[in-house]
Amino acid sequence: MSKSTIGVVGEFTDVNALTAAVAKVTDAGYQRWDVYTPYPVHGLDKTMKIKRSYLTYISFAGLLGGITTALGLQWWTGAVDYPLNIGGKQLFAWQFSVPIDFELSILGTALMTVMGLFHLCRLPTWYNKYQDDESFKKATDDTFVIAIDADDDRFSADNAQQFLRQLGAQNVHIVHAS
Amino acid sequence: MTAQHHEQVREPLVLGNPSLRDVTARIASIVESKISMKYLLTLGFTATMAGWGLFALYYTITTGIGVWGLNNPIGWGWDITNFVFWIGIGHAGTLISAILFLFRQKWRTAINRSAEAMTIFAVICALTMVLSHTGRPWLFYWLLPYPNQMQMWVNFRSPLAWDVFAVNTYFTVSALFWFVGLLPDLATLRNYVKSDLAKKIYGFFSFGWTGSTRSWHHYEIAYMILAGISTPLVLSVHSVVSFDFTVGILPGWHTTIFPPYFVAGAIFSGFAMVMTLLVICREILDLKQFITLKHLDNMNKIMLATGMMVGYAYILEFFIAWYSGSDWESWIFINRAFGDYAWAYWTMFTCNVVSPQVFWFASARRNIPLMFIISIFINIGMWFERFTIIATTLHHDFLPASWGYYSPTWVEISIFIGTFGIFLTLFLLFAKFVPVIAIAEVKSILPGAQPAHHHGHDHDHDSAHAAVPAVATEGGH
Amino acid sequence: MFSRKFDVGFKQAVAGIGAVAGIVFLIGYFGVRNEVLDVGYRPEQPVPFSHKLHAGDLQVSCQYCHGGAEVSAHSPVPTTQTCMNCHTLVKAESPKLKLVRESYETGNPLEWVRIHKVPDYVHFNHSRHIRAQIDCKSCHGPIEQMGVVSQAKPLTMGWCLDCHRKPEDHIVGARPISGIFTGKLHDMKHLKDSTYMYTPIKAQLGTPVALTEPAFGQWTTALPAHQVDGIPHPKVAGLGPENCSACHY
Repeated sequence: MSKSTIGVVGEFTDVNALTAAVAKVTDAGYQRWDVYTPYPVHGLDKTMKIKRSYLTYISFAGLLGGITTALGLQWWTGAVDYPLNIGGKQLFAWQFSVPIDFELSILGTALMTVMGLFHLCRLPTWYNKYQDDESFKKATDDTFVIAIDADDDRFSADNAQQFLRQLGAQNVHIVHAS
Repeated sequence: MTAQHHEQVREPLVLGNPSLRDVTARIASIVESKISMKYLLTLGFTATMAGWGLFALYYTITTGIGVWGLNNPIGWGWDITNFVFWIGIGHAGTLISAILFLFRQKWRTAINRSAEAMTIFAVICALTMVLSHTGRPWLFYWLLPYPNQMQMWVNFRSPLAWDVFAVNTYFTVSALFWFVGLLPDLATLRNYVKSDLAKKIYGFFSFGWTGSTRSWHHYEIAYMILAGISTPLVLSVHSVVSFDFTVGILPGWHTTIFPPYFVAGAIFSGFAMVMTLLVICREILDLKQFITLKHLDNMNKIMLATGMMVGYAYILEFFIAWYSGSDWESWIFINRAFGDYAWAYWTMFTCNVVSPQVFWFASARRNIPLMFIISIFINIGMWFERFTIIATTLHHDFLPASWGYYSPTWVEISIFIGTFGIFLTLFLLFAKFVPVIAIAEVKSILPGAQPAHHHGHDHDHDSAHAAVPAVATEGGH
Repeated sequence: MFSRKFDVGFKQAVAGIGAVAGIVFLIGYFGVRNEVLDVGYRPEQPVPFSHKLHAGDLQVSCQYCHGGAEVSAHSPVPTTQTCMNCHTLVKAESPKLKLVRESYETGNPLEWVRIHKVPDYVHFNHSRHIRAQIDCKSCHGPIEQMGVVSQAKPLTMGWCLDCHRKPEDHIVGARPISGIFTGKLHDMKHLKDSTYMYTPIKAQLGTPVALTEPAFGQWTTALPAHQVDGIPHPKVAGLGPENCSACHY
């Protein structure tokens, strides 16, 4: 099997040059591309016109699930399933349910946030098509990498390389499947 | 690094103007360095402490908690003292990682990772104490509401059940928060370290994090949400722990001031523990570049503030005891300060209220030996606070015929030493094998790490700044 | 990082282990419980005593051998002497009764294997239940049909509670075979001279002291569920008590 092209990558070391370049790539209309950075660069997601994450809704569902579980559990076990007179206290009252309502809301939110994050970022995935590329490896260290994927409709290896070089990227090269 | 003029107003958070690569290399060098004899000996020592504690725990579990010094009026002793102590230690980590994050306190980045690790390890110690004090820890699942053949449920009207939920939630959320924070740094190490085995291990635990902007976008929101929910969580946990006491109607416990007082005390003790370990860490691991005197100064200020809060609570408790007009309440407080446990009370008062007062002086806040000693004083004082609260209220109950005195046995002392062993062993392992500094976060606050302006198409208000030429501050390449 | 093969393989392995763990958990949760493990416990007894023959065919009342259950917490296991009341005459030479005769001669009791057992911290009081005219069968099953006795009910706390909450769904009313008084004690004058009647009961016979419990059938229909301060109060409700100290004292 001949080596198929995965995409084209280019390196940046200056964050301002990167931001300018990212804006251009966005304007060029590429869809399947990404910028790999060692830390979150402010505003880069907006420059890339990434749709706002719906993670907040997932988290909110976790909160609702948590508080519903807590209220339902305390009410059903205490007042319905086994009503037990303990020191003359109410079988259920929202006042005493507050600590657990709160804790389970937090727990539900946290679990759903992390699961939602993993889902949205497709984690864990122990394989990445760029994983053997040296530029890509440096992207968690000190280099910003723009990678345009080969499966983008507008992709052409030559054009993409030229485009990235124009934008000031260094070490622009094609990544082949290993 | 030339264009730092706007940073000069404040002390830099990272010394020596490191490049991005320098940060990676510095942290990775800790992980990659050969394990020294000194490290192994220290680890051996702490592991022995842990082993000794685990032996005492084994003896307790197989024999029963009769081997402890607990007696009839005093049903809670070192077990619950240590539990509250360790839970308190944990609070600094979440405070630093969550509350300071929400307040945009950038100095947190150097210390949050290790403080969060301490949180998790401290909660493990707390759980050890609280599970062993149940007497039959293998039936721990009875604490949870699950459908069983007895058709019994947990008594949700009891603060002890709330505590189970609070502590477990706290542990889970802290661990998740810590792990989410670690993902990018593990990925950094995965791509940086040389050993194949290390690459595999970090590669596995980094879950395939790439640093993709599309991921960072979700990641930053997730981190913000986790910080947002951890903030009320950390305040709630010690409040709920204090409910264990306040919901009981015993004089000395039945006090409305307890929740804020416990939370302040927890943060106070947590910062003291973070200080104790960080001072050692920054010396041994040579992290002075990241953990600067400014960081320590800030932490000392927080200790001073929280120390004054607990001092206020100590004094207010006496005022309210007198003002309540309740004979029992008044008497228990007089007994607390001048009775059988006066030695514990005054140790607590001296360590917690008097000793941090030196931090009014800027020179003291930047004097490392002094802050190390004071932090140990505070650790001791905060332990005695919990002991005082528990023992003084219990040892003289409503029935004078049953009044008693409590002293721990060798088993309880061993278990307490053991929890320190567990805590320190885990921390040593953490300091060697896990990035002790949040690499990605430190990089993001380096001067020039963020774009001078956003090129976002929806940033009209930025257009004025767009004229300013981009400042190239990326040094070291 | 790792190969694509590892990625897929590891996830499949985790899913597989998760599925197996789930199945093991379900089997454990639903399989390892008294309803499964204890019900049907049918140990071999030293003497092949048949309840089917004695109670079923010959209609010997439960209380002939287990007398005392109506006045004490425990239901006694009969002494060898009780067996020999009949077996000195009936089937006196049967080889199956060899151990019984030995026990009778030596005075060493037969070592019956106990079947029905609740934990030490549970106080099940037989007399309390019998006076409520709850038949033996309610908890022990149709003993009179069992050649070899086995445990018929799980005897778990949840099982107790089921009946304490809705007795009408579970209780078998007193049957003649069990020898449980279905009337009031003062109606039992004719038993006053009975040789086999227990002395404490006999003392009460003929005295016009009504039992405080309503007769069975009145339990739930006659007495509506009652509440004190909005909380169901077992004593007034006419149900079995559900408070902890009813059984754990």
